Amino acid sequence: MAAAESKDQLLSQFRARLEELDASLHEAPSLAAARAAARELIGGATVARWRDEALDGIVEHGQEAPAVDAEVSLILADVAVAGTGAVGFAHRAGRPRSAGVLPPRQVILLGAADLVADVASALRHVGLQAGDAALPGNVVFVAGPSRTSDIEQRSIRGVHAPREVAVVIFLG
Amino acid sequence: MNGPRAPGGLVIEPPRGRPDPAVVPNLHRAAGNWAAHRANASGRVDWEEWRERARAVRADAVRNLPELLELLEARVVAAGGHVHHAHDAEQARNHIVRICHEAGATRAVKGKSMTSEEIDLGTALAQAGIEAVETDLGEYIVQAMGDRPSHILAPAVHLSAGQVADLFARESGRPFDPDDTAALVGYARGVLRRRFLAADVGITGVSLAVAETGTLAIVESEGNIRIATALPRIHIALMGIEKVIRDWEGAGHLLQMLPLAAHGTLAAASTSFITGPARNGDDGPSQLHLVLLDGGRSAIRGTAFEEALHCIRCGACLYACPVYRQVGGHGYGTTYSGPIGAVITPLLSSEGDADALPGLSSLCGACVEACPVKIPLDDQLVMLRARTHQRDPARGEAALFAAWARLWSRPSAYRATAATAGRALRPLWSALARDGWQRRAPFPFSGWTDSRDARSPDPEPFHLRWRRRRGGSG
Repeated sequence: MAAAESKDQLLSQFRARLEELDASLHEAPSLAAARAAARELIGGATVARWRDEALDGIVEHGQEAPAVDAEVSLILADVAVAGTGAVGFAHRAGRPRSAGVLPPRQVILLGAADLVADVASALRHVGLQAGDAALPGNVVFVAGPSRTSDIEQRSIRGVHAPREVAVVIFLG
Repeated sequence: MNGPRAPGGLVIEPPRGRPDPAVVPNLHRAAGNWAAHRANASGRVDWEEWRERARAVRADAVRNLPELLELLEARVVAAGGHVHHAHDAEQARNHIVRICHEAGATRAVKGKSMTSEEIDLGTALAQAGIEAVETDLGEYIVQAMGDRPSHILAPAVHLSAGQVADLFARESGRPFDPDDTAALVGYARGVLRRRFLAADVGITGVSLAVAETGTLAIVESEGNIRIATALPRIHIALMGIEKVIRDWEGAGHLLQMLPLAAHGTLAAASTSFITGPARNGDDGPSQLHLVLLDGGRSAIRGTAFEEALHCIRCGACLYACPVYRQVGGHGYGTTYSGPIGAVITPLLSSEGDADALPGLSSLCGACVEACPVKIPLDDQLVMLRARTHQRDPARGEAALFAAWARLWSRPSAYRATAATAGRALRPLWSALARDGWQRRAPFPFSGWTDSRDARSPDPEPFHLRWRRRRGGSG
């Protein structure tokens, strides 16, 4: 995990990790294209979304539902780790924890500029470091769908958090 | 610990559920999966270098524990959280019950926490009228069965799908197919979702705490911790004091080591970083309480056993251990099982009631190889066995063996006494022996045969037979 890896290398590493994690990756050349891809992934499902501007224009107002009822959550990542496939995001006003975790399906938008090589870089990128006045109060990193092997070691996707995770990465 | 007591104080307690022949195959399958995943993942990183770094992070933390705990407390308080100190399990239980009572909380959701098992929190909450439901799937099953977890990470590894299907059928009044795992998980998800929505308080453990910013990191697979720290208005985090580490550099490394060691994966399904209660319009809990449990940990610092405090609770040494794979977690009769359980349980207990646990090991060293922070578990098991014998003068065994060692270290004394002893004991021993094996030897050897058989002594000692074979030249 050298620091000087190119964006292409990071992206191909991230793609491989997500595949292992059973999450899907969708690559879009621009934010507009990413929004279109997200719209297609969501279809007619009900959605709990965060208020980030990047997520505007993806779902109709009538499609929105409270987190506890929604079929899909639509959120924006703050960082992603190419080496592990993990995606990190901070919760705050307009980005409720409930909307990020309760719906069974999840669509995560990610800017390519926020894709970093390793965990240490990711923690810094998201402000988890000493002396950061803006240290976020609650950050979650997720790597693929939630899962359990508690019954006879059989691997099952989707327990309490989403069972399907799609990451849409936009380059522009 | 109510099970039958074997000689030496070892408690052997069968699982409370219906005995099921699936247990041992389950354990073997789990251990096999673990080994395969681990081999795959550790091939991707410089495993030995990573272990050494992880060891250094934990060594620094434990060596500087008082300083780091002070810093952690200051930072948690600065972030708006509350810190409660518990000298022992009772104080920890009392803190948690009091926090619930003061907030008028009666419904709790619990995330998996071995520390809460250690202090028997469930019983205390029930007695205080607080309804607490385990939300990790394995813990939920174990709780509903009236059973106890048998592995740090896989609490229900001793149960079969058939037992789970029967349990859910009894609970719901509708049948479940044991082979339809997704339906079993889906049922539990639905039941627990309602509990989450109704809960006043979320109670979790802590994987590690970063002193320099007062941040609690909690690793999980299922997402129950995320919900337990999202919906309820109060979050209570219970943590053994040794889980603190200095800084984010160490945190980043350990949080990669933990899933690698535990499941052979490069990243946990989810990791939550919590600094203080929710603020500025965040929808999380408005109160954060951190309960710091000593519970005998401070007393281990500065002793030959200090490295046992480096443990990050990954569970690797359990699956690696040939004894654990045969007897399962319940065979130990204690909260923490496997090699690390056999080390820390007697150390954390002041009663001496767990002194026989270090005997549940073959000293093969597989646990040492598996440990991501390089705890010398085999050495510690041997030292604990020695300590037990040293501080049990009533049986006189240690003194007897010391004297015997001194006597028989001298060839002349050995030759003079060995044959005599064999002949002298023969009438007494043969009365008790069957097929040349002693099932119950006379005092002072009875302690030995309480838990194993002994071969009857041969009237002709080895050195005499050897001399005879060599034609009297030896």
